[in-house]
This record gives sequence, C-alpha cells and structure tokens, in this order.
Amino acid sequence: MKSRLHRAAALSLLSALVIHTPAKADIEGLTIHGFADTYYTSTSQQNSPSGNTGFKLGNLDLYIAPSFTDHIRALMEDVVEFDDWYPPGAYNGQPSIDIERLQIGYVVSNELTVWIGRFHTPYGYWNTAYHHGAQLQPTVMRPQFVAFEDHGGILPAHMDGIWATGHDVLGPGRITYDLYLGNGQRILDGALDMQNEGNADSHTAAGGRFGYEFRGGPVDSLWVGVHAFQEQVDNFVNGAITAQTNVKVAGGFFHWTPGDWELMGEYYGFDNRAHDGVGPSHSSTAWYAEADYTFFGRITPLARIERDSLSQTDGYFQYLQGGKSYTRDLIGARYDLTPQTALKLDADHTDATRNGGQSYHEMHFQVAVRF
Amino acid sequence: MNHPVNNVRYALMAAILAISAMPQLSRADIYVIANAATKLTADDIKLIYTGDKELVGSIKIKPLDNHSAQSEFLAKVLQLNSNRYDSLWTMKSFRDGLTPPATKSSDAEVLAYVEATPGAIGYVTTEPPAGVVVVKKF
Repeated sequence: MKSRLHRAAALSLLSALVIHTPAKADIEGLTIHGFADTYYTSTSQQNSPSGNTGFKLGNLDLYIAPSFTDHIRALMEDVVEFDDWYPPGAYNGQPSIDIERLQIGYVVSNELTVWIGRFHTPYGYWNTAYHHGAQLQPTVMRPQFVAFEDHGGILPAHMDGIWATGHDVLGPGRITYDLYLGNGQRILDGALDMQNEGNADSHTAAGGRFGYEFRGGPVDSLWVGVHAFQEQVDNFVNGAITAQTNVKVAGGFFHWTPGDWELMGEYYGFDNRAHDGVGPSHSSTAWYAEADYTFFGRITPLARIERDSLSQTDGYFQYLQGGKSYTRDLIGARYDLTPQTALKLDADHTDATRNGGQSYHEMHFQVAVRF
Repeated sequence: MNHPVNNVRYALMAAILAISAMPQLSRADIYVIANAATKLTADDIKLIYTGDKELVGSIKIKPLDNHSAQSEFLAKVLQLNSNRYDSLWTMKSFRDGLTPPATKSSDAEVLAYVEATPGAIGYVTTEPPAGVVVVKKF
C-alpha cells in the first residue's frame, strides 16, 4: 500500500509538472505520447498467473520527453496496468500505476549520453526496443523469459542507477554501446524487485551491451551484439534472507530487417553460484528466435520459438516464480489497420512439464494503438 | 456528339499528358538549408533526420520538416515513406527521449525559422535567398 501511495504521489507530481509548466519556447517535447492496448485471451492453463480466459485491459502507457537545454533532457513514462501477475495474489482486477522510467540525461556529445534514474535495462533487443510499447512489438506477448519482473520475467527489465549510452561511426556502419551501474535486484515473494527506494542490501548490479549496426551492403540494417551483467541477488521470505546468489549472465542478440523481413533473436547464458562460494556453479540458458514477413506493408505473419533451461538447484531460479524451464512455439499474424493501430493474433503451445509445470495452449487477440 | 474514335484519342492524349507530368512532380528540387552559423555537411543530413546526430559543436541541432515538401524530401533524401519515417521517430522518442523534427507548413516559414535560429536545419523547394546556407541540393 505504501508503495502504491508513493506511486500515486509521484504521478500526481509528474502530472502537475506537465500541466503547470509555463509554455516556454525552449522546453521541447512536452507533448504526451503513449500506447494503449486491450486484448482477449483464451488459455488451457489451470490457475494461470495471467488470469482467466476473457477480455482484458492491457496497459495505458504515457510518456513525455522534455528537453531543458541543448544538453539536458529527460524521459518520464508512467503505466497504468491491470495485470500484475506476481507476487501471488497481486492480481485483483484493480489498476496499478508504475513509474516505468524517470531518467534525466546529459548529452555529452553525439557519441555519449549519460542518464541517471530509472531506465529500461539495456540488454538484448526486445527490452529496450519495445518494452511497454505494445503497438510497436510484432506479437501480443513478450517472450516469457524477458517478461516484466511482475509477469514472471527472469531478467531485470528495469534498473535504478546510471547509464552511459552512445554510438559512433566505424567502417560501413556504427558501433553501439551501453554501460550501466545500478541497485542490485532482490527476490521478494517470488518476483524480482529493483529497489526503487534505495539499495537496502548494498549489492550493485553492473552490465553492458556492445553492438555493431551495418549500414549498406548485403547485411544493411543488421544489428548484432553481445551483452553481460552480474549482481548478487538475495531471496527474502518474510523479511529473512533464505538464499544469496551471485548471478552472472552473458549472451548475444541480433535484429535484422532485410526488405520486408524482420528477424531477431536473443541468447542468455547464466553461470550462477551461491554467494558463500560453497557448491558448484549452475549453468542455465534461455533464448528465443523470431521471424516475420510483411505483405502489402500491413499484413505480417510471424513465428517464434522460445527455449528456457533453468537449473532448479540454483538459488536464483529456485525462488523466482518464473524461474522454471519451458519451451514455447508461437505463430501469429499482425494487421496494421493504420500506422498507429495494430490488430494482432497469437497462438502458442507451452510445455513447462520439465520442472513439474503444465503443458497448455494459449490464444491472444489484441488491439494496440499509439498516439 | 463526339465520334467514339475522337473520345479514345482524347483519352489517350490525357493519359500521355498525365504520365509525362508525373516525373516532373518527382523532379522538384529540394534544397537542404541551415542557419548561417551552423556548419553542417551533406553527410550530416541523413544522420540528423534519423536522430543519429544531435549536436553541432556544443549547439543542439533543430531539424525542421516542411509539410509542403516532406514526401519529396523523404523519398529523395532518406529513401523512406511517411509511415516509416513516422514510425522511426516514434521509436526514437520512446527509446531515446528524442524530440521529432518540428513541422512548418511552407518554404517561407522554414526559411524564416532557419535564418533566425542557430542550429536550425530545414528544406525548401526553391533556391533560398542569402541569409541561410545550402547544405546540399537534391
């Protein structure tokens, strides 16, 4: 409840700033943009954490990006959502408000911008490319293992800290880079918590993403790169620490749009070890690959496979609600009714029986808009 | 009453005229212009209009779109259609907090803004007067 009050207070403050800021010509970007979606889900999963079959409200995402001076700008994003999946029992059909991003940046040069605040953790492609922008992403649902923290995700989708990002021309394309430091995550009631109110256990998360984006030639638009991060994650049950795990992740990603094709994939390899150093390290992997093709500029059939093999003797995955191995095969189609309005249909089969879960089918139909 | 053969002849002439006029439309000149104190090169144009270059020296670049010439500019200079351009800036704004180029409605408005604003860059369809610099003619 306290957290909710803080969120509401912060939103009120943000709204007041937006509404009452004098219309100075040198403050640009105060137009409110956003995304909204609503969808229908049919699932054969019993006691699904995402709720029952039926119509659902997705997210109402609002963001502003004001520039204060030639070098200082901010990005503020709030989301009203109706579907917190975790911790268990969190879903009550009532809306909640999350400050998704509140980051203030200094543009040092064309090659470097430094942000401080809460931002989307820069790993892989999906998390920073689409995030809550449902209308932008090709499918209705994110790959399960890159889901948000309160939707069973196993990666920190958000980070409170400092982030240096940029790009520079190199050869026929450009290099891209991201480096960040932030509050380490902890596991509360089975979900990752990014410690918005301070780093209570003084564990720091650190990571980076490096890529190369080709411009021109046979692989024009191909962005390929590597990512890595590490942190200590403690699991809390009723305020007591029950496990401490050093989490190390390394992997790679690519995104490519040759003509009307869009191809993408991400891989994460985990090498986790108990913080006390007793016992072996635990290897786990998670990856997805997706392909779609757009006909007539608006009809896009697509397919995706997801594979998750997570060690259940690992203190990280053992306590995460979403830390179970699974495989998922998904097919779908997207129809862009207008450039701002997408109709999407996904159908998938998920097999999570390896760690005692269920095998089930799902279908999602979504209407998503941006404005 | 016109003879049917004449009707066909008129229709053919109209079609030929329409077809011959189409290339003229796509051959309209585009002058990319910048504030006189803003040193930009032709290589910078695409970078600026795709959000990959924000500063010239320590001054923020202020790109402008010209509604009356935008489709021509996008096709000739960026090789994009308006939907893809709009999507590109939606993603740049959402991901990086960048502000899309402001839009002016005519050559005159673009010229006035660019001449008066350090860091400004825009495009017009007629050769501009002194007071701005032409970065490149397309």
